[in-house]
Amino acid sequence: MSIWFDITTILTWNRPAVGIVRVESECARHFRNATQSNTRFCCFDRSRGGYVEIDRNHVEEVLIRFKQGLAQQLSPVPEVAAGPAVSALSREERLKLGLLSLINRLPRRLRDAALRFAYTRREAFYGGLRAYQEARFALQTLIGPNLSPSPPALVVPDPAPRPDRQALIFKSGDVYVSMGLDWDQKNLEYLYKLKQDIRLRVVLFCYDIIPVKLPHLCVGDVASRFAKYFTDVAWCADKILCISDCSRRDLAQLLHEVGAPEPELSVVRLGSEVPRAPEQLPSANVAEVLRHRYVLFVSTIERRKNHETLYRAYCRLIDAGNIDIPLLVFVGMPGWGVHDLLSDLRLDPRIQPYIRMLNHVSDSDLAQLYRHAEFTVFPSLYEGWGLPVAESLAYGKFCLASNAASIAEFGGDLIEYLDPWDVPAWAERLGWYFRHPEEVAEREARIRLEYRAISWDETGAFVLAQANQLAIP
Amino acid sequence: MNRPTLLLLSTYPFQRPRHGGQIRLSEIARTYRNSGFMVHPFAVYELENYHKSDVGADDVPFDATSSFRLYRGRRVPFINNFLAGRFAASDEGAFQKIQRRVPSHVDVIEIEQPWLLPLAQRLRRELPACRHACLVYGSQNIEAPMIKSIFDSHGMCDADDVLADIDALEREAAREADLVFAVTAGDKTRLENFGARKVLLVHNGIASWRVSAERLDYWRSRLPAAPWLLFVASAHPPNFTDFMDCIGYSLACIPPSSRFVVAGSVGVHLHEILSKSRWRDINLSRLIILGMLDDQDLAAVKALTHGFLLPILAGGGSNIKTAEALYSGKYVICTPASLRGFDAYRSLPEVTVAESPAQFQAAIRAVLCSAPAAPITPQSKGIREGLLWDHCLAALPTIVTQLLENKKLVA
Repeated sequence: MSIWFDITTILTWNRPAVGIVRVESECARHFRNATQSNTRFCCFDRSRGGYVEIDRNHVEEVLIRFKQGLAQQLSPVPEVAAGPAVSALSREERLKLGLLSLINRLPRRLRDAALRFAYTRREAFYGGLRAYQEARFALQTLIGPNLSPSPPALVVPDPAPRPDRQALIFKSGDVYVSMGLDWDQKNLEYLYKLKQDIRLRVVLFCYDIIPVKLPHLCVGDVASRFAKYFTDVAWCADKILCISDCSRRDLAQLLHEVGAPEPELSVVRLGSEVPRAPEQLPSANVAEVLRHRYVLFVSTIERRKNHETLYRAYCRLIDAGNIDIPLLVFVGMPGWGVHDLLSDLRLDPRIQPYIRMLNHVSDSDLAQLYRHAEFTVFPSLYEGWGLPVAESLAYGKFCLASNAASIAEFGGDLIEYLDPWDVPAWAERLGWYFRHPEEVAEREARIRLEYRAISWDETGAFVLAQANQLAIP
Repeated sequence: MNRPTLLLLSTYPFQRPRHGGQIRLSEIARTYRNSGFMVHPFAVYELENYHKSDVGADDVPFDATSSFRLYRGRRVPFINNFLAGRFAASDEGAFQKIQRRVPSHVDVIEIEQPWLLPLAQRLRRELPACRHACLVYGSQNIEAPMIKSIFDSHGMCDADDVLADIDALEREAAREADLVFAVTAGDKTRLENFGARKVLLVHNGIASWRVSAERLDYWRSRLPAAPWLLFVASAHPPNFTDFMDCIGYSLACIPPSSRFVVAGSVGVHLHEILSKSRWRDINLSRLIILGMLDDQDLAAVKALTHGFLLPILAGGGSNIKTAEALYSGKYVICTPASLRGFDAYRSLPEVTVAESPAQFQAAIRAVLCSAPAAPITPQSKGIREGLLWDHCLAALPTIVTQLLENKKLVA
């Protein structure tokens, strides 16, 4: 009996590890280092439609690269012994592969734009394909006999290929664990068939159901796609590990609403320990910030993270004559749905002297920004977890945070929570803490005394223990 | 006694029976004929809905452009059957044509559903050949409430006058008939309350079906290997509105490798509704729409399914689809309403009655994760034989003959 850990995501990732990639790489490290001899690694080869074993040395190589923060090269995937061919993929998947292959032939300068175009309009491509199928059916019905002895099917979704037992790396009773970007990289219908055919036991992850619950805060209309993904996860998994009580509640509610089965749902606490990167001299941008008092907000700049509330709260403070206030430092990439906000921040003369936006910040710079901040802020509208809050606590920093969703699960009463939409309250509490640094210091002393960050080893050990519980001897 | 002559009046032909009403009518005609009756069918049918190969020699088309398609000068959907009665009984409609084809002597006029009561009344009143004919009314359900539910589901709130007329027609048919057939015990009670003199329970049945090996292979290669469920229905609006009410707007209760297979013209409507739902991707990944199938293909699909879904809420009658599903020995997930007239089968181990979307979804999940239903035992085979038309209609000719003899004695 083997415990299989799927590393498809980190194998194909070519940027520094963030979010889900970080979770997969840290847990893979624990599985790799575990004294348990039956842990093995695999990846899903989508083009061939099957799972492939990954050699432990290859895993080690990938993990070292992540640890060094180096860009991961695309790893060649070993051949699947007798996996189903591309022709066994669905029409939509074949269309996707064809488009990707075309885009890859474009010059590099056009490739990104073409990929973005294709991604944001993928529903139009799929819609066109469906329209073609229905038009073909309509034409056949129109010109064919009224009741054909072999009537064409109007809608017949392509089934996933049946697993070929000879080519399978899994054995009956094995446990499979996956926590990566499965909605993009896996074929859950195939995984379900594996589960049925060989009694594979399956552990999957739920980070959050924000794309279904709050689709308006996501890029494009992804609600239906992710609802299907979570439904398939529920059918495939014997156990789903959710990263917060809030995510577990949300997922249970969704599964109930759509009528999917509800497998065992457990909560896993993600690591939030401070990375032990060697401290280097700060970069020029960061060094400039470090010369001032500032509050720190670490997060991608997107609608859901609600930078807007901080902007408005700062404007209220400034309009009320509070001039000697700390800088407001945003660390993170500009993302989706913030065009107007970024324009306001650029053009509003009231806020210009106080705002700093930093992007592509190294671990060392980030650590220095945390250490020297007056305190941190996190007004997010919804989170499945809330890493910046956990990180802030791990650095011993007080945080003024949103009371939405999972955020309060991690800070307990060590930090203060506010309604993310309540701009006057944010202005009032920011102003109060600016005027009472002794209160911030008192809070920080308590955090240093009482808060214990979860280590990635603990997270990895928990996941492995959950997998072991499912193993059939 | 000479061979009795029976006029069988309906609003659809049954040369090539396809939907439930046609099948019932065809079996009734066969049963009478097998018992020596001379059966003369007259169908007043909607011209646009039938091919010429579907209709019999004496059937009369009810053209879509006919002025009788208007109710009190306005167009009201879903009541063409009712309007066909007025058309058939009018000189400006089809009456003259029909009366010329009536045999010289008629013993029984049987109306299937109440729609052609005006025609039967006029024939009995005006034609010497029909003057002494007994009137038999074959009720398929209680029509007025069912049509009201269709109106309601389409937001039609200005049709009280139509409903009142239909209700009156139905009551008149029950009161006037010498003999009334009901398909469920509930309908029987209601028809008796309408004033019917003699009501006989005649369940809907089915014909056993044969499956061709070639069609079986054909469909086996096209449908999922994993267990899947089948829903067979026409485009009759309650068939898809009831489906949504029973199961909800998500097919997440179907496993990823399984499918929900829809046969019959309801498929187009279900596809439209499910693809507009918030759960579109779930639904389309699990839905197979087969469209209309001929008998051989349908038999093969029924033979391959793991179970049947019967999400029926509307109507007062019993459902032939229910009888077919029960007879198959496969799993059946159904509403209490779909078991109307089949209460004896409720306790079969493969039958699950669900009364809410949550119960339907749980039953679907359980059935699709179960091994195929246990093979039919000799005992349960006996129970199932009771579902066949031969058994359900066996008493019909005798009772009608008895009626004729009683009438003769009275005369």
